[in-house]
Amino acid sequence: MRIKSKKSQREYGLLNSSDLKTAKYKLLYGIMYAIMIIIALVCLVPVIWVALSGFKETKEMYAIPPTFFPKSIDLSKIPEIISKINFGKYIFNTFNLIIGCLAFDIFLNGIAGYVLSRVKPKGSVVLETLIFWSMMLPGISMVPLYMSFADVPILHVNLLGGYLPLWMMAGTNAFNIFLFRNFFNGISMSYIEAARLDGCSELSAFFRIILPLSKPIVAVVAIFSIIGSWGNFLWPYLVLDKGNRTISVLLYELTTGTTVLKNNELMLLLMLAAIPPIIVYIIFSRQINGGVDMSGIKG
Amino acid sequence: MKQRKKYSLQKRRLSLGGKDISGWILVIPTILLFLFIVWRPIYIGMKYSFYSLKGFTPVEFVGLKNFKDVLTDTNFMQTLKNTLLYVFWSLIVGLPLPFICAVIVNELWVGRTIFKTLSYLPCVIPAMAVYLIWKMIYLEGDGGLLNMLLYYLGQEPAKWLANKNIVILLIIITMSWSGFGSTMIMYLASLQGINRELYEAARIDGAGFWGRIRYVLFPHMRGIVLLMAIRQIISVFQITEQPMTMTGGGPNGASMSLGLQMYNYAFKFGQTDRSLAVGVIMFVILIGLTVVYFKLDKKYSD
Amino acid sequence: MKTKKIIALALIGAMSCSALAGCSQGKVAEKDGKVYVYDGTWPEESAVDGVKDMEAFRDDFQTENPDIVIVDDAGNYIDSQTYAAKANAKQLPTFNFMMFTDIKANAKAGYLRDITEIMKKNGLDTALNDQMLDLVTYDGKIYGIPDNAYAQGLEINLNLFEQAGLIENGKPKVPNTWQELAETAKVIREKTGKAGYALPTINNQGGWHFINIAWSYGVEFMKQENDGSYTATFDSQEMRDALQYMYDLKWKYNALPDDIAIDKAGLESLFGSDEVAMMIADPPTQSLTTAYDMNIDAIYADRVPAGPSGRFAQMGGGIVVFSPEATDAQVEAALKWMKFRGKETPTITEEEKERQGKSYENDRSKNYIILPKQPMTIWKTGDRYEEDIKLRAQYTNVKAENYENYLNMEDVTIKPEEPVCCQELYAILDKLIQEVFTNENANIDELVKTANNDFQVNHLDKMD
Repeated sequence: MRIKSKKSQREYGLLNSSDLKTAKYKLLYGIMYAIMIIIALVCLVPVIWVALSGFKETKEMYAIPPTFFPKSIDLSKIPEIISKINFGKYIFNTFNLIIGCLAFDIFLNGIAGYVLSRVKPKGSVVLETLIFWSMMLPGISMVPLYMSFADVPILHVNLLGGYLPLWMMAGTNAFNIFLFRNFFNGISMSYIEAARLDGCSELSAFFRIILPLSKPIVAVVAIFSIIGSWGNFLWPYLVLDKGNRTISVLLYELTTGTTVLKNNELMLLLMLAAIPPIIVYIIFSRQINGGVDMSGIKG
Repeated sequence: MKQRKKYSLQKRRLSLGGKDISGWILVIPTILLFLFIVWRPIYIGMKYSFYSLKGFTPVEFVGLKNFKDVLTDTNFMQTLKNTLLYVFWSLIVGLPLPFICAVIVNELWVGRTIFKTLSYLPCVIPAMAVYLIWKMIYLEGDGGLLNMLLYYLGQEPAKWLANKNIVILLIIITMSWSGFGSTMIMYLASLQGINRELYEAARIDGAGFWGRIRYVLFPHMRGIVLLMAIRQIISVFQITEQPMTMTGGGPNGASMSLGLQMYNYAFKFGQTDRSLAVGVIMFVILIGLTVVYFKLDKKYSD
Repeated sequence: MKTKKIIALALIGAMSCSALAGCSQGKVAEKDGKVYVYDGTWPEESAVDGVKDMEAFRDDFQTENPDIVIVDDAGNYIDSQTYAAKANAKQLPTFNFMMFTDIKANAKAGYLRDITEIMKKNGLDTALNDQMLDLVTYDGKIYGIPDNAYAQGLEINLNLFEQAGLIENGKPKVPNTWQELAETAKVIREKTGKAGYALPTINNQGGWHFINIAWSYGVEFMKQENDGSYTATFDSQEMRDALQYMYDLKWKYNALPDDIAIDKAGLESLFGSDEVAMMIADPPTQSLTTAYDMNIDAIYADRVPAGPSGRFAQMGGGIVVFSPEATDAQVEAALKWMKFRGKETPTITEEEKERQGKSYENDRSKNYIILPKQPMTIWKTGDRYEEDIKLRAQYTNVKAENYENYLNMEDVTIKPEEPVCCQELYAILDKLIQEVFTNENANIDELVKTANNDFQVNHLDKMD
């Protein structure tokens, strides 16, 4: 990983210190700060607004003049709503989805990336091309895929209702395969050659040599996978049975369907649904930023 | 010495054969899954689009009937136009935004991390929550955030998602809000890969800020921008969830997309065969776009 | 090297196995001499209280019937988007609810079980009202048992009527015609600033509500030709009048809320928060008191208003249907389990009455609205309704006069839905309403013409 000292912060920019002594570039610099501050506000304000609105009373939501801040913040509303709609169960279901997706994502895509990058068996170029094309054409086959889950070819079993279809979809993430592949390209062949000479099989080379060297990319894919599964909506909605529904599906059903919530309760719930991934992100943001540097998207 | 070289060569040849086999064995699960999840559905989707279906079971070959049914639907052209409009607005709003932000953040001395973190924040909020949050931002009447702003600016509340002319733009803004952070950090990573000496060289040649962007930054970034653009076009072309949850395709079909039409045919009106036909039409268009991408990519990488 | 390869293969094998594990095993009909009934009407998990009540019922029932096992198998099938897939995959629960609208199409597709024999055996076929029997019969066979039926009515928020000064001698001044409704709405806007009237406009629900208005303006939507095909017939002056009325509601009387892109849930939320004074609904709307904390006495229900051609209310409700895979034993057991809870039966025993009473008491404690009688009857024989009315008298929590007019349904023509392409028609009507509500310059003549043509070309002409 790149070590960033104060000095090296200027390592990347278009402008260097002597440019910034002129008034023209000082102004430009100020404008750039202003733009980023506005963008940061646009990113932050809606989230804060919804969080605060969750604590408003119904009458406050329609009040004229409209208010930004609620009159009072009553934290007891949170446990109230959690028990009212059995939130814990949906969290549990979401974790089920996340863990399976994570395993499929890292192992299957990781191994595929490894094979394409460092093993390169004869003919693997064909596979690589096919996978690349798949990345270009995702999601188009909604109905046929659904049909396949309902009646798996050859085996003739029905996978609908459980998490397996969603896990399998996580295991065919072409983009992550290429992230892995690009990263592994940067690992010196000599390690692997040495392992081979020691009689290591490809799989154990992957687990013993490659994975330990690849913590940054594994972390990045893991975080993307967790955040992605948490927010995944359409396929969980189509696939999962009632007992297995996740948070995102719950949110959709609350706005259209059978269980009704007041607007302010819904907003509170939106926040509850957004907090766990935000926490994951804040804890691991260094890995995300660092990991993308490492992932070889340097163009 | 000679002996040793020969030995290692021999060993190598042996391990090559083994490498091929074990390599292919390792990717068997991946290949099976890709067959099941990606490749076969495309094939059966194509095949059954020429069949009539009862529920999800094919009944009989009907030739081009499904395509005829879909294409003669009086709303099809409108839906196609809407879909292209989604793509258009996403290129206007969604493509430059992360690029500009990345270039700016790359310049800043102080606060890089904060700006990076805040820009990425919307990406981690579950998509469903994003749609609902923005639905409330756009809410008509005094309850919505935008109308609240207008109120304090002394303006009358305006129409947002109920306005046919801007509904697609508003949905694209929502998408861009939730997605630009991840594209931005990719661009940032790429920007940091630029050899600084090139800037210095450009500077010595008298290139200013814009000159350096034009002669150093653009050529370096072209590949990744093109890749991101094609990915964005392809994903926006299939937009489904956003209109489904934010507008239901309204008002009066103004935000209906091909993706949502495909979904509605299958899961709302029980016309799976027509849904397949829409899917195939989209597929053909996207294949065309991808071919264009490869042509462009080749042209620029030469 | 060899062992490593074996390990690798084993790992791949394990992966493939795990890919197959978790496949549903199919639904067992009978095991160890016990009949398994999969109950698809089980409440959603997020309805915590409902689940608790059902579990209590189940425990009692299984103690009484040790040879039957009731399995919670709800998937909100009533408006499930994946019903066909579930049916094809033989994944349906033993029984579940289905809307009135959907039954014929599903019977035609073979997704429902023919229960004619069992109905006859239990004498249920002759006990059903003729209208209800007609509803569940397709091609001479019976495919379901109506669970509840209602006709739409006009619900009034008395809080807003009070503020607008529309209450006289303790009674609200209820608009008798659609025209009066618009004028009442105008008064409410002037006096309170709130919306007088609202209806949903998305997810095909706009059409479902608007069709009452259209019928009362005399619109005929389709007619069957001699060759069996259908022709769209709403390119008419009546339709233009009805749509003009909708346009006026928005632009002339300013009757509607700011956000018109709402569904039924959104409408109820506005009504329950005193933001809308009148709506067409199927009283009693339980969410008003249970989710939005409205005072029960602040809700008033009346007949739908009349139009130039009369007073029309659409009929709706839920039907219990069975899986095509269900065995006779399963259907019988399911009927037993429903009857245990006092459902799907023309007669009622003392025990069932007691249980029903408990459930009313329970509902009442949770602020559900209990009317003095059901809006519509399903059975023509049996003592169920008399007993039910007696029972309800103990538990009803509304002022009888607040629902009197609605329940009497005087001179209301109760209409079933249009014969074919209902959802498609609603989708088209949704779009029409959205257009006149959002476009002040809407060209009604053109809109009606296009809609009629769209319906003909896109749907009626393409019926299989």
